[in-house]
Amino acid sequence: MTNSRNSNKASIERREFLKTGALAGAAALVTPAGIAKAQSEADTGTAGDAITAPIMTAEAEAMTPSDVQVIDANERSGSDFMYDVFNSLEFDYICANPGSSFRGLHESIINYGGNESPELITCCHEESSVAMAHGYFKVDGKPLAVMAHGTVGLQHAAMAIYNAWCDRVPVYVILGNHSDAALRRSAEWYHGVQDAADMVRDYTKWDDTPWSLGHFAESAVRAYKVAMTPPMAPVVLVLDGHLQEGPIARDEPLHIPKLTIPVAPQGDSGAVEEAARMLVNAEYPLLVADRIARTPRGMELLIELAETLQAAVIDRGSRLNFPTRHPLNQTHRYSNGPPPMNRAVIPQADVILALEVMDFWSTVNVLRDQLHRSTSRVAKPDAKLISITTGDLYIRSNYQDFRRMQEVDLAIAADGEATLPSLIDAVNRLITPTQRRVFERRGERLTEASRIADEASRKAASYAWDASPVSTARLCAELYAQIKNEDWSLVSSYYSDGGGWPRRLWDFDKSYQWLGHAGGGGIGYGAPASVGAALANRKHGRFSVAIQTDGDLMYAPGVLWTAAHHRIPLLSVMNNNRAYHMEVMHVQRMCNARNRGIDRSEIGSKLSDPNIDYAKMVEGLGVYTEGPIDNPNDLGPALRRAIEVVKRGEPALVDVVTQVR
Amino acid sequence: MITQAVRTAAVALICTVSSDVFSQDAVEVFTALGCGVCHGNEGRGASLGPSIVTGELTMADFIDYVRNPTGTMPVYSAETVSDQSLTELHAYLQSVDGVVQPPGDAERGAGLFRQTGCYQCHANEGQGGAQGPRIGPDPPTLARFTWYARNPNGSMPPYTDVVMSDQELADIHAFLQSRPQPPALEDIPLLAP
Repeated sequence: MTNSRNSNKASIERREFLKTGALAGAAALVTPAGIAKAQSEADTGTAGDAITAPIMTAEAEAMTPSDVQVIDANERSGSDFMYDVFNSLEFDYICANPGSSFRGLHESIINYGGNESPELITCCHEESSVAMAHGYFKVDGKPLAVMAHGTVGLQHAAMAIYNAWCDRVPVYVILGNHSDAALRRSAEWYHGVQDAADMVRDYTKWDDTPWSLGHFAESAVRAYKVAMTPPMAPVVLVLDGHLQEGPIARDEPLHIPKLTIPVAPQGDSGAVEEAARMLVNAEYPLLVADRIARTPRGMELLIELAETLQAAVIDRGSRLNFPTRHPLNQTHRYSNGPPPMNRAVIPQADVILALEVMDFWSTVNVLRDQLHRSTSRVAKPDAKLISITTGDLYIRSNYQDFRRMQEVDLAIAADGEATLPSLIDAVNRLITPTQRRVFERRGERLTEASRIADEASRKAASYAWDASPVSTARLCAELYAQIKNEDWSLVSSYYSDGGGWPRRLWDFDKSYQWLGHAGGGGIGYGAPASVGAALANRKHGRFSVAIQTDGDLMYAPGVLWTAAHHRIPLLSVMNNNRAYHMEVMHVQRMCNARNRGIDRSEIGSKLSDPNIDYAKMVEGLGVYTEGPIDNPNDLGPALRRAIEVVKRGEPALVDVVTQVR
Repeated sequence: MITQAVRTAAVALICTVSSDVFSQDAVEVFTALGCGVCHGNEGRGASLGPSIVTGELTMADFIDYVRNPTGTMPVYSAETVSDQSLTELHAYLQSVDGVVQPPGDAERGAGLFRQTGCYQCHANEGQGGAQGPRIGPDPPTLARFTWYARNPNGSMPPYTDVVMSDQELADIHAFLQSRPQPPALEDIPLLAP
């Protein structure tokens, strides 16, 4: 047999590694002789009919002790230092399924760090871990950390990372990976990869794979800084297994860099002045907001700008940008029933300011989804369009979370929220007393239009009031009646948004009351994002409620066990319509366009036969449940009972069989 | 495209209308304005436009729609045709007998409403939702309902006579007509402002 020059060294290292006890427990306690004896007995049947596991023997105990390796009093582990760095970044929680590639850091968190700052949250799916972090950030404005295997864990997490990226939400993803192939255990080959972050590099903002603890400290702080600088997005840090597990001297000089989050970029002063001039001189200025309120201050500023101009506001809802019952809110002015909402308002505007709007094109245009797709402009042909967005600062080629290009008259590449103060100042400088009087009359007209729209919404909600299955309007009205006197937070209503009724019927005026949607349209966001957001609300004593769709919950229902295990108070009210109805609608469209078989569109999208008993399913996860409920008159009492449970600090679920939307 | 052809035809007809037309009787106004191009020679509906006879719209709604049409219908401004002429035209259309529609079976319509996907956008009771407007109770007249199902102008998928008969549309229409009226808002405390 011919050995290459380094083969002997590698085999010695492997033997040393085996002696360290890294192959856990029983293998280290049982001698080769013992194993051989037990195997022989098993093979020949001499141990009797029952095959028993080998036991500790006097012979084994009498052998020379093996090379016992534990950390020295003058040493600590690399992952202890990693904990110090993460602790300095003030992570409250770190979500993870357990995984051996980050076992070193896992142990440092629970023993060295005392399972505090960050505290480990036990998850049942990496997609849940990331989506929890997604929801948490949108309540608290702080990122959560997530740990996962560099291969299989990240593969599970990928969709949720994509959602967060599209939604401009920072998630701090930590991947375990054994880079040194000469020292990998068997499973670590499957859990090891040359470039772990590559798989999600198209939809993360930055990643690194540090090769030393000094490198790690800089990259860990840099990753946090990059993630939190608008436009925010997930980042990935790959932690080598040996770097985590290897000992270092206690007095090894390691530095934790100071974290300084950059000030968000503001718009150019001249461009802001020009935007202000266009708005002040407009007859019908319209403010369209999508993610302008990335903090509570954003909503305050938008209110100030709207009231100064007495301008109409449309909130596209990726965040709560504007109070739903503010008289200038024109979002739900439908010209003829449901959306496109822009039919009633957009065509009137002569200046439209888009504030962090991801899809400006579809705000001022419509696409007719027929066999031959066609588009048409909704806005006036000569309406002046202005955009303020960090979207102009950040774009990728492969995964295209941007939308169709909208021609605009003035594009300000800047953070919207950071730019609003200077825009408000400029507007105030330009308004004349005469204009203020004109603005007041405009505001009165908008107030009246808003009042009429609110009344129309209530009237629309009254139809099918007593129907079974329960109408989504009835569900939302019953739910709001029970929670409106609490400090409530609607943590998710993804995907169906309760038929759109919450923001038509409820009084939203605090940023944490509405958190937008998944960002990337990935189903399976709702349940874990709800739990993450409820975790953030818990420390504020808020009442978290989710309108939980059935299709979404079926992706990874185990996250409700996480809620039960960690005592996360959350009321989940099922919008159980027993199908992926958006997809039914798409298939129906194809059936009609092809002029055949229009009565089979539910095939492949139904979640019935058998109906899923969510109350029974979730009860098994340790969650209080009610339902299934299909009589609307039973809903109020069931909600009240569940709310009492949630107020005691536990999750509860009410399964409501609902209409499609 | 048909749509463009209709627009071109209508515009051409409008352009040929002289002020004399307003002194002529309603039938001539109907002809001169080119209404029959889409709505058929007597307004009973054709492949490009719904029936506009027998009180489909009130006079005020009729004039408002002509001035501010949706879909592919061209705009007829006050400069093109006066309110007075439209009033006379509306009166004429009221006098024309409509097409006899088949009677609908509400129970059968309930099943069709579900099986053919109507409820996906318009909700189980036709009350409307995030994807489609309310169409019941008090749906549009059967003629308009049928015409729109065949010729939707938004993103609603078309229901041609290959996949849905006039009788089936009449059944669905009957189902929508049979939907109960909602309670008065004052009787629903949960919907109080």
